[in-house]
Amino acid sequence: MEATDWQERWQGRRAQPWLIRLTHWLNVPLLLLMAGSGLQIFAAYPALGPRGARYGWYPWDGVLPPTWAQFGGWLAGGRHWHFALGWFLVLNGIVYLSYMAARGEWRRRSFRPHRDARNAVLMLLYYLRLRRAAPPIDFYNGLQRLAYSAIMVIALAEVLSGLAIYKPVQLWWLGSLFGGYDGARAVHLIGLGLLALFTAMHLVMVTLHPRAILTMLTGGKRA
Amino acid sequence: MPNIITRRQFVATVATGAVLATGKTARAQSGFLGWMGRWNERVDRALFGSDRLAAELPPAEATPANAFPSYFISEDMPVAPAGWVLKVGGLVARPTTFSLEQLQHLTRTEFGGI
Repeated sequence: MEATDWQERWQGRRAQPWLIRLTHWLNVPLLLLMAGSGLQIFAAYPALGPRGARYGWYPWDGVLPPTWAQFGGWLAGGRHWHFALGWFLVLNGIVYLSYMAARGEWRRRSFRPHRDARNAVLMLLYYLRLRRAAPPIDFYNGLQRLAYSAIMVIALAEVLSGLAIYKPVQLWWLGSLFGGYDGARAVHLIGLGLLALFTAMHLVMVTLHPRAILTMLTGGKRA
Repeated sequence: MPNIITRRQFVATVATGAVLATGKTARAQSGFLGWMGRWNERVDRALFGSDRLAAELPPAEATPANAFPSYFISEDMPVAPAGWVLKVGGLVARPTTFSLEQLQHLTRTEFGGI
């Protein structure tokens, strides 16, 4: 895209439009409560693989998640919360993705290999202190775009694997995508781990660049 | 935008819910969880579809009787932990608890396997 084209497209648009800010902040309580209620459910059988034939590669086989990380009080409570809030997380994601598509926001936010791959590598080298100067950044750097796009793929896998273990009989075809019920369960837990890792990295990055928090609250200046 | 209003209500409900959910979520029939529970029941019914039959497979595609369900010899045998009890509570006439021994002495019904 030409530079003038770029300027014209985002003319008058805030860096973080209100719908993006709203869906972003709604994710905070939703993901926290989904993770907590999910771990509450997981605590009923904290292992991967079918009973009696566990996979064996899961390093915390049989280890209960810490009680402070569980939400809902007991198995049924965790299930009530998980299945109630899951719809709102999905709805939030649909609103976000629809807005990205309708307003062309995906152009400046999503990772496109031919544009961002080189920039992402250079940025990584910069963060690893293997390169002195940061590569030129337009709206986001390549590494940001890669992270924000990858988390969408992870979120989608999380929703699909979640549906597969929510209704394993009716949605058997969905489960078969993940290698059956136990495969879907493993994907669902690994997805939680990746979401947690993303959140931790995200928190480190915004601590280093606190201005980003302000932009996500106010929307930032109009372009 | 009805979505936004629903979610505002939802945020308020979650805020109060999070405070209330310190103990067991016993009152799941009412409030936000009750409402969402009834929504999930409607989803269940839509998935089941009481007025349509399940898809019938041609005989060639059906799972052979000896391949389903897949039984296997477990490497570990589940043993009830010491002091294990089955607690029957909630909306029942006589809340009670059963020890494993009491359960084993209850009337049995044998089902034939394949």
